[in-house]
Amino acid sequence: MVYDPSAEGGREAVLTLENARLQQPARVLELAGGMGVRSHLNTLGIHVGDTVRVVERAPFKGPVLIEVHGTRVALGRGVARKVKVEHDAVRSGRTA
Amino acid sequence: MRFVLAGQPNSGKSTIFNAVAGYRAATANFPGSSVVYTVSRAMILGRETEVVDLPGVYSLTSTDAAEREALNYLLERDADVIINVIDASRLGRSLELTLQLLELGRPMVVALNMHDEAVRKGIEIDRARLASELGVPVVTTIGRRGRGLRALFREAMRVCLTEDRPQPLRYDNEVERALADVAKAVSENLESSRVPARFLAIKLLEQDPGVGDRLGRRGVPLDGRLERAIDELEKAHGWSSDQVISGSRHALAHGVEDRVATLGRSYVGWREAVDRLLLHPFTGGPLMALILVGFFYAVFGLGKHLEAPLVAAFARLADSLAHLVPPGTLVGTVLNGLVMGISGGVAIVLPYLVPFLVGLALLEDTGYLPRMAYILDNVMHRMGLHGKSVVPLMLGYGCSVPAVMATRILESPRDRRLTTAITVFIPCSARTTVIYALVGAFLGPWWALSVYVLNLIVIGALGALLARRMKGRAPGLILEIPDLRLPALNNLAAKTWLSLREFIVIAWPLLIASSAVLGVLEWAHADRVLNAALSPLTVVLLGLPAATGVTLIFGLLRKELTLVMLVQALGTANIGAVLTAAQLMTFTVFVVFYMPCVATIAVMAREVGWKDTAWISAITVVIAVTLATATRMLFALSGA
Repeated sequence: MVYDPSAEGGREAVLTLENARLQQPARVLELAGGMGVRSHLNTLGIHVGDTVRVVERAPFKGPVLIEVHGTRVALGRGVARKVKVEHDAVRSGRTA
Repeated sequence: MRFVLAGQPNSGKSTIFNAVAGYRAATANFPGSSVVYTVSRAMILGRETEVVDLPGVYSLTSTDAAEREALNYLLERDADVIINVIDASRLGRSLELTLQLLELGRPMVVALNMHDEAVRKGIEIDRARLASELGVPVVTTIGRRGRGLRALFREAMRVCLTEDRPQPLRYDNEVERALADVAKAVSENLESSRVPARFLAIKLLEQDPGVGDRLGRRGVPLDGRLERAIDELEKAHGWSSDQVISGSRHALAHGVEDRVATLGRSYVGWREAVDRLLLHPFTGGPLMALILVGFFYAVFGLGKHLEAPLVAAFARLADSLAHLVPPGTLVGTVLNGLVMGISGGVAIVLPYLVPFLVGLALLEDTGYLPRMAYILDNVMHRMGLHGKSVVPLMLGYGCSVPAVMATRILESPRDRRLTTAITVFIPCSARTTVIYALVGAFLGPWWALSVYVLNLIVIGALGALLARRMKGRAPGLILEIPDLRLPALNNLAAKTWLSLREFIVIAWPLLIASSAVLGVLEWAHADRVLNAALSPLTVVLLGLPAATGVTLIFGLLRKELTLVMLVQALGTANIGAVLTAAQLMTFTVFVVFYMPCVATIAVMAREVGWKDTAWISAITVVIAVTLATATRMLFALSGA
């Protein structure tokens, strides 16, 4: 997991689908990127507040396979990086 | 009476369409297999109706070509009934499109399709409740087995006759307020519109580029009311207005889903286990290589077994015919040409074509293609593309025409141009028969495989090269991976037949006619003029017999012709006895790379324009000549 001390209050940096834990439910916090990418993600059922799960990550910086509302979607690394998420079960003392 | 089938990609629209219209629309287990709409006339419950199969779209926005096509159709033409096909196992997401369709205010029926899949996933849907929530009839269907279709069309007919127009569902208050303002401005400034002002207001608030242009062109002044509404929404929510609306719709759809669907225990079976292996970081790649090589060997093995007895039988027929009508006469040459044409189709092309098409249909219907897109995504990035381009490329192994059309699933024009350019290099099934029947049959399967590998290397290099010259970057892969599915046999057969019919109805008559024409040319010795004109290429550069010249010209019409014409021009189906190994390889390499056939050129010109078509074609010729010459040199050097 990426740790970024410059992030506010020294908390863990915001996760993205690129580095979220495998198989653990994660809530979407923000969809960065242009309107094209955003609306494309929206239409596949990925919105801010939705719960997604990273199923698999292809090797050599390949795409990320996620599951959202019972559907599997492959996202290229570049796209995955634009989806900021947080894991629902935040470890003790670290609650934002 | 016009029934329009609308639904999200891979919801089974085309399967339902084919069930009523006969097999006309291509179906496959990957999103976006229909990129254009298909129309058919059908007798439904004793009435003549027009059934339209729109391309599958996730929403009614205009972000990609398929969506623009569907949206334009719905905006410009009257649908008497919209039949919204939804995947019951993905209810929430499917309903987002349903809500948008309701806003069009046309009579509508919902087909709750793939009901079996939903049951398997442990999803139970209260159909009556869903119908009352949406305000339209809901019919449970299993399109693949034809279940529920009769009831579906009966309901469609009923709402069409009673003109039951549904009411759109209400968004949250802020959105509704903004909508009311903008809709008022729209209806004040637009005299008449096929579509409700509310629908246009939503599109405007979503800042949909397609609809904005459409109204902008008609010069609709909204006195800044649209901008004000957008501003207010963005201030209230802190997001852009398009996200506010899509978020509100999302919440609405999932609210409906929560009220009508109960989730029980899902059944985890072989599909999930197989899928894990197919997509696993360690096993995914090797399994893909295994599947493709296995595919190659299966087609080759089957084809070879079917080909040998057929070729022998036709050789006997030609012999006995030669006894009856001497070959030197006009009747004799034409007759001989006809027999060659028929035998070329039956004995040489079909043995490889049929297993190949079945195999490709299997890859499509099981849903393996999008998985290849996932696995090959980063390889494609090296060519400046992303994984989705794998779908048109794989379809290219069947036929370049649908492959070029399938580039529409790509988002950016740059990706489409680039993918089109490399797709035409993929050996289509016609060129595959040349590879199998010449190189595979006479030199062995490893040689044939090497042609494919060479082809892939060239495509990779060309892609990387072109990507550097074309500005822009691939936007990144966003692709739904559908569940693995056991293909239904009838669908598989129908699909193979659809491609095969293309060969039998269009290519074969052309093949037989061309054989006869070649017969006449030979009789009049006109073939020598053509062959002589091409001999600088064929004889001098490539070291082939002069007779191959005409085959290359015929090959421009249909690639299958190359092989059959070669049989005829050389006067024997046992080509290995006439050509050396070097000549077989050189000829095949040339045929695999040179010039797309006329049908492909036509579709390319339509999709990417004449300018691109011209330079792509020019590149194919340069590459074909270079590689074929190199092949000849290599054989000469190695002393073969």
